[in-house]
Amino acid sequence: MKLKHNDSRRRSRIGLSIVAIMMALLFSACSGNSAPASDSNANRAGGQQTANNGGEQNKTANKETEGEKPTQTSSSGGTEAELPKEVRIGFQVIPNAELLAKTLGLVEKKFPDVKINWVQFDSGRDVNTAIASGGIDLGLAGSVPVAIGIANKLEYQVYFLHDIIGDNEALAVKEAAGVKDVSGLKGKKVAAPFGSTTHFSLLSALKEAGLEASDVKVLDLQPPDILAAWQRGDIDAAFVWQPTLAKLIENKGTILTTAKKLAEKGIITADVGVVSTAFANKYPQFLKQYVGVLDEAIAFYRSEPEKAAQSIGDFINQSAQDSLAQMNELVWLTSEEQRSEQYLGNGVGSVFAKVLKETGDFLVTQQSIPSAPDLAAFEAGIRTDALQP
Amino acid sequence: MNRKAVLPRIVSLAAVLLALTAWWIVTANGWVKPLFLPSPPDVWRAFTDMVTSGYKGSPLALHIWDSMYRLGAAFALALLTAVPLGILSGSNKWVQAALYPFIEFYRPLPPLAYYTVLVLWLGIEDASKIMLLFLAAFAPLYIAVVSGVKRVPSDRINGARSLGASKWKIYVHIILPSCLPEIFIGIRTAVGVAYTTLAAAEMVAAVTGIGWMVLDASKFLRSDIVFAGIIMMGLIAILIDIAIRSLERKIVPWSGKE
Repeated sequence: MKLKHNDSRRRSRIGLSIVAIMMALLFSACSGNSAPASDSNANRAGGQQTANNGGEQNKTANKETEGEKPTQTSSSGGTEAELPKEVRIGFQVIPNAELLAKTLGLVEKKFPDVKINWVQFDSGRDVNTAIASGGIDLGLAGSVPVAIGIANKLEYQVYFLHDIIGDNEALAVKEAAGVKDVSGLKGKKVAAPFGSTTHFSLLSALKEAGLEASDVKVLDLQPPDILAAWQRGDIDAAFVWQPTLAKLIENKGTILTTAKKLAEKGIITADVGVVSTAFANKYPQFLKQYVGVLDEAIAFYRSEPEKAAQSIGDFINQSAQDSLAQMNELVWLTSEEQRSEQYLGNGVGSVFAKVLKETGDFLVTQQSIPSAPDLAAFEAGIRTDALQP
Repeated sequence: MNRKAVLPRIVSLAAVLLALTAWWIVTANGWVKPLFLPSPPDVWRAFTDMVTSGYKGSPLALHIWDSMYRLGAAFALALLTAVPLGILSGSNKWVQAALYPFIEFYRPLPPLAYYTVLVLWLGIEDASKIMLLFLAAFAPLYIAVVSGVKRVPSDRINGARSLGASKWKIYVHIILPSCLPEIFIGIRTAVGVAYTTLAAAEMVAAVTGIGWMVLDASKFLRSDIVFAGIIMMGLIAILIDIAIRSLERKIVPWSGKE
């Protein structure tokens, strides 16, 4: 007993001294900046500092590219030496070309000598941290997490648009709530996973309908919890993706608006393929051939949709019919189609760079990120070498 | 205070200062990207920003208050249930035999494993969050009380009984005060365990709370806010511990001196 007591007292001493130091630090810093206005200015300056650091790193990365360019042009065939030994691909369970390529085993067939490591993710936030920490080489994240990543100078680039989000993400409302349109949501509880594409779509839809963020109680829930809260009657509406969306509709729900309708108004969201910049510079041939595999999967889906749906349905444990319906809700684009200015184009001047920029600006108004870089930074965040024929 | 007590304190102070200086040097020279380790001034700015303009529509004080309310409610509930049940179990082996399997079963479970079930049962409001924290706090408190009751010298109970004390009086005047030191150890463990589950409890449908604040900031890669939030959580935990210990010294000054 006595020993324990001594021990606890010693710990309290350490605790006390930590508190003392923190307090001392707090007070010394307090006297430094007194006006709140200057604080926020200082914060912005801090953000720029961050940006500068990232810029320097980008420069070094560019130098690497220049250095390797000769090897890239000298051998266009793609010999083994240009392929990595192992590739770690972060995928998400979204019925698009990448998932189809995985379930059909197309990637392993194309690269028999490369160890393909598939890592499953449930959110773009985790993909961001995984790429930042060097845990994966390629990843799939929504356009919102990617805009956050580029604004934070993550060293990755967009190389492919896995899909444009259409009817698979929608704002569902309980029939019992008696809401006819988005503006009717005033005073209601609406759920969405924060930081996701649907969160962005929801806030944009509310703004479009003339509602302030404070008019609606927006709750942060993951899709499984949305379903639980919906069934219990804790929420009135939710902006969520498949397959949760279908379950909400089954449980007396109707759709108010969809990502497709919002896209027609210029609020575009997409599932984006990102690649670690260092990896892409080192193995441009792999990236190009990987895009080729994705094109192959898209061609297979277009020519034999039933078989494609069966393959994906087996993987996510649902019927081929449901899978096909969900696959048709997404817009699938081949690399050739993505070369259009309307999508990735040449990066510079492309519509998708503007989408990322607008997403970033919107997140700044939501106080989610302190500042968004200019359009050029988002354009630099897109690489189109892998899309070329 | 004698020299023996001061010296270790100086060493801890120096160690903390050293760590802070290392942090400052590493970030000021740009050896680590701010995303991985934001600089002390950045973290401080994130903190002052939160103090002046709040975080995502709620003032910082409200975030802290909401977290403390959830923690406090859960802890009060644990105190009201675990202490009587623990005293009963410690003095009656049949009660203990009936309760033990359940407590031993759920105690090692990771809270996130059963949190979805709690949300299904209790909804997305504070009830499910408080229940999660309550379950985390209950087991260590209960176990501490049971062992405390078992350690009450039987001479003391028999002495009181021979003087004609009733069963009820023995519980209130002999057993409860005798195991107060153990109860306090249990309280400190319970609060600690509940505090570590705070961030998990605020994962679902929260829009306030310091745990939620850190989780939300991480979604937007705001490392400065994440660090500021974590440091705040640490300091609050230390303050809570200090408060409990000073309470302990007041209520059971004989603790450890028997």
